[in-house]
Amino acid sequence: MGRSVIAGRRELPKKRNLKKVPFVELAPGRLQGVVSSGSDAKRVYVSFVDAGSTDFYCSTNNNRPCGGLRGAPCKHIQAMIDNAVAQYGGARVAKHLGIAEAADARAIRSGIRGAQNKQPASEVFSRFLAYLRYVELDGTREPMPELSWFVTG
Amino acid sequence: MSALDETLPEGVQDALDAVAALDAGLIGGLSRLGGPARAQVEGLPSLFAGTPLAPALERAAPGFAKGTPTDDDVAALAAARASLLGAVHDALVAQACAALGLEAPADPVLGAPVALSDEDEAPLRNARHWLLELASAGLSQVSPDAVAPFASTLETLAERPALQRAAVMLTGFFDELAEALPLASRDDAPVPRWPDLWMQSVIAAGPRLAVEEAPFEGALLPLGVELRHHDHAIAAVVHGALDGALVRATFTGWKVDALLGDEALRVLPAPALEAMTSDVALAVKGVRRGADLLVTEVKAGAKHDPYTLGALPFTCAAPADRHPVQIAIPVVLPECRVSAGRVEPLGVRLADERVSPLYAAKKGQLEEADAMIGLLRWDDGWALQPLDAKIGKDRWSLDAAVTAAKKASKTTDTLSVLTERAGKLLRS
Repeated sequence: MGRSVIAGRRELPKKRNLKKVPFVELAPGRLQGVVSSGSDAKRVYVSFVDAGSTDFYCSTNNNRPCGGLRGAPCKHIQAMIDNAVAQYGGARVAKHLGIAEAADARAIRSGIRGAQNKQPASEVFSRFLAYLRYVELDGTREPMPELSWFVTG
Repeated sequence: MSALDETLPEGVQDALDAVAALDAGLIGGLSRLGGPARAQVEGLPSLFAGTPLAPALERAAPGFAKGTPTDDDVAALAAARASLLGAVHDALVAQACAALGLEAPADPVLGAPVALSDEDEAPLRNARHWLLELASAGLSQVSPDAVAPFASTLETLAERPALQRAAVMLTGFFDELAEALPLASRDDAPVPRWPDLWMQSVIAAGPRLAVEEAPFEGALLPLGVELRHHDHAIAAVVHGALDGALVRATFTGWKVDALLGDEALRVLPAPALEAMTSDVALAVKGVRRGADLLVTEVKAGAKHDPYTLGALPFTCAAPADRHPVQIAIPVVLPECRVSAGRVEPLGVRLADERVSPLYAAKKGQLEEADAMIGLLRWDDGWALQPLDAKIGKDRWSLDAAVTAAKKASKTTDTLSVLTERAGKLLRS
């Protein structure tokens, strides 16, 4: 075997601004999140940046495009990146997006050179609802040997 | 007690080499097996000739030869890999018991296969199919697009009480793939970690034999609390002694990344926080399955000193759960010394990578321990995972985090912010 089966320990997530960014996720192939509107407390935006291409998009939950998108990431996308960096650390976010040698939020933001690429918000929205459901699930008192592989997270 | 031998027991290296060859196939893709991986997969039926696995491996052979294995074919491969590692587990446990002066552990009594409803079988079928896709493509070759759609199955799994173990396993594997893919280079796939996670996921999504259980009531003398967690689940495992044998009680809760520090402990099902102690005897009630207690009631009793508990016998894991990573033998060292990262008198490495960041350990502190309670583990060599330590007049344990979690209200600020946002989203 010759190698450990335990993933290298990484830092625990840190505090992000939950009111501003209630949800952010290193999803398969993209960074995605839900961002509160700065002006209307009832409105939220769904933002994402694709890994690799760094294509991005931002819209309201019912797919109205964000007015701040003019061929460049809007302030919601910027807030999502800032809070992803607060939560996971710059290195993890940069690696996930495939932005080489970026270590902080500013470098990651300037590493986004992709195009505006319209995608439905529903998928991100349903991930957010699933995220909220996790904290309402009951858990179990069953033995859980499966978690022996997982020591941090 | 004598120091652990770092020499591998007989046969272990051969088994690990066979596993490594299978792993090359899982990493590169079962649909295009080549070289030693192909030879190893093709040799499985003869390697397992005369065992209960032989018929399944023979049925799987044509699928592997054509590069189009089915769910059943890869399940047979996972079972073969697990059984090689199960043999490694058994040999290592025997080695540890000899050094610790313990009898070889008894096997748990197994019952009938666990019966599942059609509603439970459906998401498991999806999971098996997803795992087949991953292994056929190769764990280093999988694209994020092949991973993302599985999220909806995970949500179903997590909501079904009978599928909690499968849900926790598959969610941990999914989270890890989601963050890491696509890999910059196929050499970046963690081996044997990802083949392990894949294999255990296949086992978790398949049929399982029940371990015989019975109601119990008794006095649990806790030895210490272990935390295990990934992005969406956290478990506290209370290790202790009951009726002169080692037992453990596990409490697993679902969590999200916004729950930080001791907030994460609040998602554990009751009575986890009452049971998470090392120096109070507990009157406990629940169900016992081999060495596992499913605790539903806890009452704190008198103070007790876990450092006075000597070596105690334990029951082995169920066959499907025998893997070197599952070796976790509680060891009490009333006197110890840590030098150059090794714990004496055991002579094993201090496994600080296994210490949850939720323990408020200051760097270097454990190196000054005079006494320690830990779990003897094996991860490419023996190591001790600390659960509790005496450092001069100080005590190193999880107590502070547990006390903080008990004091806080169950509905945390974090949770109320998240719920309020959800309400707005649902109405918009």
